[in-house]
Amino acid sequence: MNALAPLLIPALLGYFTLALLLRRIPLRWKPLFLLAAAIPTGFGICSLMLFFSLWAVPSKSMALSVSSGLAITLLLGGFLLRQYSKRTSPAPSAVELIRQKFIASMPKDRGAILKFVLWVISLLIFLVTLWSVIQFFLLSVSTNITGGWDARYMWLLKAKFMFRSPEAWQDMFSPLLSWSHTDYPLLWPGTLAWGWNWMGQESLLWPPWASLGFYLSCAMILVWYLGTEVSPLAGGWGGTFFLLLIPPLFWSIHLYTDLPLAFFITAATLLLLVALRSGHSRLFLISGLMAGLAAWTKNEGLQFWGITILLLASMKILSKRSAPHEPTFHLSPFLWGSCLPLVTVLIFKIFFGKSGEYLGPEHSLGDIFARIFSAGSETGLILLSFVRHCVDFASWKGLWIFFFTACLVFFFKKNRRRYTGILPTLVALINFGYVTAFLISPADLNWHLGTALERLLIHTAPLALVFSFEILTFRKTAIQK
Amino acid sequence: MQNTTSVIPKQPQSLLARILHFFFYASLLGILFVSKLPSATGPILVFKKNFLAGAESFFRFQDPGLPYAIFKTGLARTGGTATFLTDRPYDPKDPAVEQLQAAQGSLAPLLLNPLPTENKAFIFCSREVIAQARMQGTGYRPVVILADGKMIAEKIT
Repeated sequence: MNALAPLLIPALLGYFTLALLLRRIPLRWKPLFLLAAAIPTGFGICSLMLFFSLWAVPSKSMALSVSSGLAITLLLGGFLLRQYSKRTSPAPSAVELIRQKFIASMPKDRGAILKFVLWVISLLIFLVTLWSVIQFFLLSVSTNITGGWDARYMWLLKAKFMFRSPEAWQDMFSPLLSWSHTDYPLLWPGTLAWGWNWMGQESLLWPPWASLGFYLSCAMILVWYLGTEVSPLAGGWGGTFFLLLIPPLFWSIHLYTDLPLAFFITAATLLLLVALRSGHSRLFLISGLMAGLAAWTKNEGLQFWGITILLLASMKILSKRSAPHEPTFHLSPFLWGSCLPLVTVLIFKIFFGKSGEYLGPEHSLGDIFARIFSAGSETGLILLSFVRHCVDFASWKGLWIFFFTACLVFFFKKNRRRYTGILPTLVALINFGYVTAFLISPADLNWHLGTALERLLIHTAPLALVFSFEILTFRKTAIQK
Repeated sequence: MQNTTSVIPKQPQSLLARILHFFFYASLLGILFVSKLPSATGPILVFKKNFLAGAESFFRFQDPGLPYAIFKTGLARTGGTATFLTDRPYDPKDPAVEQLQAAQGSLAPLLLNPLPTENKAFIFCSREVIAQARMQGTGYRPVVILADGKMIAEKIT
């Protein structure tokens, strides 16, 4: 189990960072949120530290990134512990607190008892499904330990440059490695190299554990959001439904970065919804951090960040126009949250991963627009492929049918819950961006659709799932403040 | 202590809403019953057992870069570039290009150039005769013979 050891520091680092940011924020089911988001956040921070160590002191990057990770974790942990022990009023012990909460949550009437029983059953179903899926994951990943093509020849290759030769790590951007998408950001390779640095060896077993960490985090963040914002029953069922979806599981087993990106997109959006509904600025900050880490994972994450900022800015302008004297939310905490990862992406794009397949000196904006507006049959083919994938029950288990039904219901619904419309808007805009990318892609369209479309749908699948649960459970919208 | 960040929606109240609510969860239950993961038994379980035991060496054979490890002798740790030649001349659309990609993964940080322009070359051909023909055609001579069709070569000046 040596390959599991590198999980420890990122998990603690992510947990302490988020716990510090969420201090005194009355977030519902906070421990579950921290558990769900700790590992991906820790991976994000560790990969950023490794990148800056490689950039600043390549020869000492291995020791520097590991020791700084350890030092920051100890510092944050110590600070939180000190804050906890500083409490003036005697806090009840954890056991007493759990006992009190358990007694308080005990159902008091018949209706409540039925709901409680249903919730316990849904939780059990979730746990049994989770167990089976983890077993399947371990079995499948151990028969193909190096993953799929992208994992082997793109992501692992970058990690190998970072680990094997810190002095020559920039050779990973050589034009000789044209197939390896030299412009792609480094969260996943950085995570792998950071783990290898911790272990002191290039382990084949570490990438699968890191991938499993992202997969489980994605399931748990859905349970957290649906459990707190829709109903506890929806939390159990939403998590179970996600575990039944084949593409997220399949591509996680193949060690692709689409699920890590899906996690950050989902976490950023769900926290944004909670932040907008509650008005806590630090939730905007964490949402921004997650959106920034999405941009540090893949180029598609940068597109997500841009879309989210445009959407927030439009919402702010519209709310100012409709009610000029009403206070509205601030964009700045979101921007501050995404600052560090986003600045890193900018540094990366300016100094290192400069070449890109889509934008560059050889593809002018005029060429791109000309391709978009002269591609009627290609657009038809892309949309048809989207439809084919969406109705593929074996893979998606009807998720997209639920989503489109929810969109219809939402359209006709009178009493809509505040900000729920963000979910379908983001799903639509992100996928519209992908349609455009297919149109301007230099690769053969049929080949590109065949190899990429299913993976791209993973990015928005958790949001589609959340939206389906928010709408199709037909819960009555409570009166908002 | 305040313990909420927002107001949770209430239970569905109208009869239609209750029916649709029930129908949604019933559909999910149906989906759960028809969803199955492929079952696995027999020798495949040995892989999982070794994975959980952290038996690193058990999985080395799965590394696609393993056949190219023969070139690792004497490689500098700080990069450099070498030509990599296989049975057929380089064509990015040829499926055999995966050989170059797997070799690159194995030999990084050394950069492999598929074009015959570097002073040093790694020849990875299926047979000695093909290797000789490829070297003749590209202007290399063998320096170290590693196996049948596999050798380190240098550019003829």
